Amino acid sequence: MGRCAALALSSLLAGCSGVQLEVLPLTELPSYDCDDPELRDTVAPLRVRVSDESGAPLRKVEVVLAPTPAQYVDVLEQRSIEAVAVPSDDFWLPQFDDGDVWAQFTGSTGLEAFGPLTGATTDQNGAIQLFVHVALRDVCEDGAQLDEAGVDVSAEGEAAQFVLTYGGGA
Amino acid sequence: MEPLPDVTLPACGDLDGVDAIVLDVPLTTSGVDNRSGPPRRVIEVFSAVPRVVQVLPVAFEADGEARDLSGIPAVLSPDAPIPSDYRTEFAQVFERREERRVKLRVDVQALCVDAVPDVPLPVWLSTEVETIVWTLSPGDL
Repeated sequence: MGRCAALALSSLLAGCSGVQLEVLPLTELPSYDCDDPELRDTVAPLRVRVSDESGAPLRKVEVVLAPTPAQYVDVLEQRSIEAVAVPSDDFWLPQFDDGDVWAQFTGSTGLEAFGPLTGATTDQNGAIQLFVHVALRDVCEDGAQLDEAGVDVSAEGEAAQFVLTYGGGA
Repeated sequence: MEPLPDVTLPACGDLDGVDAIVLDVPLTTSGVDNRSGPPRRVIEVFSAVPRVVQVLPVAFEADGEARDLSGIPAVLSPDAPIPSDYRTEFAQVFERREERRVKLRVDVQALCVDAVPDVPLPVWLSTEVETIVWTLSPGDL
């Protein structure tokens, strides 16, 4: 196995270009049940960091994002993730007044308003901070089976994968 | 960011009469990104399975018997005063607090009756530059 091929097995990639591409490692999620009336789509944080050989962040690097399978997986900005309004009671309001943030996602997204992403540019930390939305309800409506969802990430000639598996499948 | 120790939850047979388990986990300095660079102001906490595991406000207090669970301080609370219709799955915990903590509520009904998990339950912890996966293993796995 060549050097570059061996490196591609790691979630921390320092390929032949010397550029390091870090993504979250594979995450196993419990199986979903299409007969569950409370079934919700999956929303997961997608965090990518690009750095040089010394670990210094690479800013303003174009990162290409390819969801798979494309018909059920989208990459979204945080503003596209709809959150439930916080109960306006004495328990929750002080938490928000204190400056920290909690949110419950509705499972709905602002796809129509903002659209899915196919790429992003790294920030001052050499990072991109986005979300992956897996439309499990659409999977079930279509009578399909989804054991694995993910995003192929590439930048500066390096590639990595963000992967979610359901029930340890795939 | 150093990994937190994985947690094994009690078996469902040991949880009769319990509605929720609350895990109160300190994020010590060594558990937070402390590499050189700009200050790390925020730790984001995401539950990957919010029906079972919910993120709680740090100020959340539960009544009940305190226990030690796999080395992580925990509280068993039959009367957790959290709105049952509000399942938080995302929180930002600011580092400006002297004591950084994350509190997670494990819904025993969802864990043991409605949707028995077949793999450990992941929680994502993210700083501005790094994300790690922390897992809770149901005792019946």
